[in-house]
Amino acid sequence: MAAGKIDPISQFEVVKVLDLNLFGLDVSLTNSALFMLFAAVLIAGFFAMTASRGQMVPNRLQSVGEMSYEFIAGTIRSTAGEDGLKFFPFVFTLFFFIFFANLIGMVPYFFTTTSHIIVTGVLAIAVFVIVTLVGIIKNGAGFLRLFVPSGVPWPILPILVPIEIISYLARPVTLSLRLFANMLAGHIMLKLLVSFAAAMATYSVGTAFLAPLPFALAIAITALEFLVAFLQAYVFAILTCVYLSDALHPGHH
Amino acid sequence: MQDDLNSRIAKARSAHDKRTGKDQPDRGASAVGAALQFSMSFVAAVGIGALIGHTIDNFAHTGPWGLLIFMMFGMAAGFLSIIRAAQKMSLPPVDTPPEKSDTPDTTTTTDTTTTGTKTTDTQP
Repeated sequence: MAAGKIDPISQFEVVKVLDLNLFGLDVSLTNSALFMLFAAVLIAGFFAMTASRGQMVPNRLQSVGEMSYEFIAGTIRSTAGEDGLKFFPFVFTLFFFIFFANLIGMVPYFFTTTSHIIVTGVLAIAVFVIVTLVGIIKNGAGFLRLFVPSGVPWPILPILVPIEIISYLARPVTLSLRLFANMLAGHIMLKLLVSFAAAMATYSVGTAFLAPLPFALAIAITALEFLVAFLQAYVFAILTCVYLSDALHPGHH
Repeated sequence: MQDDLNSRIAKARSAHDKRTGKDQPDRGASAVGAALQFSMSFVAAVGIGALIGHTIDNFAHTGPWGLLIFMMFGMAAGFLSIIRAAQKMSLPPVDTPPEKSDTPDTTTTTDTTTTGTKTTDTQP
């Protein structure tokens, strides 16, 4: 074994970068937190750059900023309606945080924060809590109509209401699991394929000729992963919009 | 000049809406992704149901019954979410659901009657 043990999991290890201790509380900066900060700084810097000139006729950078605004606004408008635009800042932040975190993870040796269930879970729980609060504040007790589908005979309701409540509670689980699983699986696959190619290239002359095969596959999957990075951020944002729409207009489905 | 600009904005906006509207049904493009999502939502629903049942059992000391009943509810919720997702996926290709949904009803009923008579015809 020239290439050593193939270890696709160690890339997800959280390690302390900077030891910090605040009144006996361990608030050390980990690589996960560092790359989250990096994503936030990158997003803030990018949009500050796009908005710095504010020209009537936008240059390239400014039009990218305007396009991203229009993209999210259009997504919200088409899923949650015109009154969903009040939550534009939330959805915009969510989409670009996930998108940039996914893209940063595509850089070799960089840490993918969204490949940890704790990160995606907190994001999903934030969406869940905000959607529930918005629904209760907007509709009061009328929000409970979400759990009572219209046009259902009353004898079925004792069975159907727990089912609806369970599927409502399952939302944050699937929301966080989808993003987490996609990022984790993609990065494990990339690491496996590339280390497999390296192992084949160094094992013997015969296998070295076949080594380009997994390497070509790894290149193809890298391209796919860029698509997944965008798609998962988009799915997260659009599902947030759908849930917001449910909270704003319960009893519509 | 102002009217021209407004009409152009309106045109661009309607084109944009159409585009985003068209984009939406295309979400489940990859069948593997859809399958993964269905299985995941089913497992999540069963898990949530089991969790609720277990919590109720813990507090009320009702043996395995809360877990059993709520896991059943969870499975039902999982199936419901799969059916809803499948409906959402299969709906968009049909352009005018209300018109088409009227005619198939009658055709299917006539179909069943004709097939029924056919089988009775072939039996003797």
